[in-house]
Amino acid sequence: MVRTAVTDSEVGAGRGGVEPVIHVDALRKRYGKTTAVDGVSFSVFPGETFGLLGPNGAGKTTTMKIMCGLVQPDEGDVTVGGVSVRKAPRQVQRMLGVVPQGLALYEDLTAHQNLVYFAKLRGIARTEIAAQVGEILSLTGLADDAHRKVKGFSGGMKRRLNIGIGLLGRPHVLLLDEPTVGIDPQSRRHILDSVRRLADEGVTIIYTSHYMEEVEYLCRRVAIIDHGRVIAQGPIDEVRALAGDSVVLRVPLLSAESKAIDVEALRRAVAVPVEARSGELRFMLPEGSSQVPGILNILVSMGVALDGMTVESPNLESVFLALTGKALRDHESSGGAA
Amino acid sequence: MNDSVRQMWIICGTHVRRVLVDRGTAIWLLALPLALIGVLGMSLQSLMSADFIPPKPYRVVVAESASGDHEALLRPLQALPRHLEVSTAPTPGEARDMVVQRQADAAVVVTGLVPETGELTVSLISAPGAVITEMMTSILDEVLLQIQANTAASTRAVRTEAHAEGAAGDGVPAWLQTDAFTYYAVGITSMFIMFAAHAVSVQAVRDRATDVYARLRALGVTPAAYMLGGSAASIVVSVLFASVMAVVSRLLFGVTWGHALSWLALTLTGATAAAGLSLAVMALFPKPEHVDGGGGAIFNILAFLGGSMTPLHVLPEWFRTSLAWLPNRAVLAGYLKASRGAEPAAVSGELTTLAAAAAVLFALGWLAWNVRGKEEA
Repeated sequence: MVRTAVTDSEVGAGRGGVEPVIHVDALRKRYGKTTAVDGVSFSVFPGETFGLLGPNGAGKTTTMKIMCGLVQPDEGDVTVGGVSVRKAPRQVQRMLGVVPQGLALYEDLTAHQNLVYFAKLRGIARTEIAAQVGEILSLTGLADDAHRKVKGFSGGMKRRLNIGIGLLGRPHVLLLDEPTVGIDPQSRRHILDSVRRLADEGVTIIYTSHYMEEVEYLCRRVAIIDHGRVIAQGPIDEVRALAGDSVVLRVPLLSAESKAIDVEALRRAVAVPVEARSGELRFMLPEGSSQVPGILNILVSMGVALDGMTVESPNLESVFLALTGKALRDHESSGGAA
Repeated sequence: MNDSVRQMWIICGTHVRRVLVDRGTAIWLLALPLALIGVLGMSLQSLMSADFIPPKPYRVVVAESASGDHEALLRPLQALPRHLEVSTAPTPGEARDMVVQRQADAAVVVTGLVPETGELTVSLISAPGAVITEMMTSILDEVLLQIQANTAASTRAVRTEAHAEGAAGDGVPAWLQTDAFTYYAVGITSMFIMFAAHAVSVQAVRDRATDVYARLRALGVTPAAYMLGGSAASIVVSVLFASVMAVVSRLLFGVTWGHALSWLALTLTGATAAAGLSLAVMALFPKPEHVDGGGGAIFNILAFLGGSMTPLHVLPEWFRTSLAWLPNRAVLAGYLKASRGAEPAAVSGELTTLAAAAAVLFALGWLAWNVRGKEEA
């Protein structure tokens, strides 16, 4: 059952009766016996940055692919600006800027050559290409490296170019699919600030991620998706309230301990979701702060040297925990989640 | 120009550009084939030359059947003492046994004039694919033409068991008509036309693996525009490659490519067939590394079967005739003819083979690509 904090019509009413620019209606998509998307519905209003949050494999990317006409849904439809993607995919594609999860660019070309190539394919007039390419290079902070081959770029620079290509044609609607995967904190910050700037300029953005911090930073409304279903959606504050008493306990690790700790054994011992990430342990405590002393005792008994701790108030991660009983990054292969 | 055609040319141009600016591909497509032509040409120059003299004369035994007359044959064979050491055997059976027991390299059995057919038949017994077989085939063809010219108009002198392709119409044995450098320039070029086409296809498969294809589709690029753009790029790169090879091999090794129109027609149809083949390979293998490796393996096998590495005339006849439909083989055969001055009409068989191969391969590739696309969607 979907936990909806505020309905779309209520949001629309709160915006003076404005119609949503994107309306996703009861999407279903199966691949053989696997249901990738199972009745996903949500709406996004003009100028809004909407977050689609969920673990890897939750159905976010398939939903995005359906939205931009790359995958045909088995049921349901998406309208963008009132145009059905089923009936007029080409027309919808002209309205969208799309940033795929993977790096969709040519590493053997320069940043400038990449932008010009995709600008031509987008059908931007020749006279307009130079201006738009210059704007994007400036926005992404790549102007000084415009004529370097992309293969010499850092991961963050490639990600910024990846986003920049999605901005060609000055789209009113931008779909960003996990745009910060695998990059350094500085580049991530640059990307998040750029997305915010675009939102300030009135671009409607759908931002998918499994990093709840990013969604909380960028979005006012969010849909949490798991196993192809929307399990909660609405304004972030109200969705956060769905978490009840859940908290996140963060325990920093000394670097030597980070390597030695057996997360699997720890998970069995504490009986709550735990992950080791970025030099710290994160425990998802569904019953709130009352579970903290017990966890600390177990850590001490396992010989983990405690050097401080943080108990975080409910956030989207704890919402996910409260609704699904598992950590948001349960499916992440590299995060050391348990 | 409509959207799809415009997109197709943009994609084509970018693929070509990417191949041309990639130093690794450029070296691989130019240095390697030129090195192969040089090494193989120099190694086999003497073997494929009109001045070829074997280290020691081949042993040839001549026998006649009950009604045969081998005298007419013995004289011309004995006139080649540096090439052949000729002896006689009392019966055809003994001559055959001498070959089987390695006492002779080849046996020639002469059957006298058959009244019913008016044929004078000569049978050659030797190991398929051996140099002596090719040599004797050519010599016998020439000798039989002389015998036929000197006998009654109703008599036809024919040879059985071994046949040489394009035998001696102009009196010069086929195996002596092409020097080693020309043969390998033609052979290696026809082989690397496939690799040139494939260099583009590998890029296209990488596009699918890296979300570039998804982005292009989201920009409204149709699968047909993408595929045709990629294939057009394959053809352009192949034609550029063949052109460079023609010029450089001419300058470095003195290779004559012959009739320009025939060369152009063969290059264009050959490049199209290679693009079709590469498309089929690309559609069959889902991952770039598989396309790279799988395509390379397939093209190497085709190159061997098509005569790029091993000269056609040393391959068994059944092998040569049964694989004449291979596109790279058709390019090679057509180029060899063109190098001897054949006009486009004279290579129409090869052009037809290549056009048919291109149509079939494109259809297969397109079908497989679409099936895969639907599975992914």
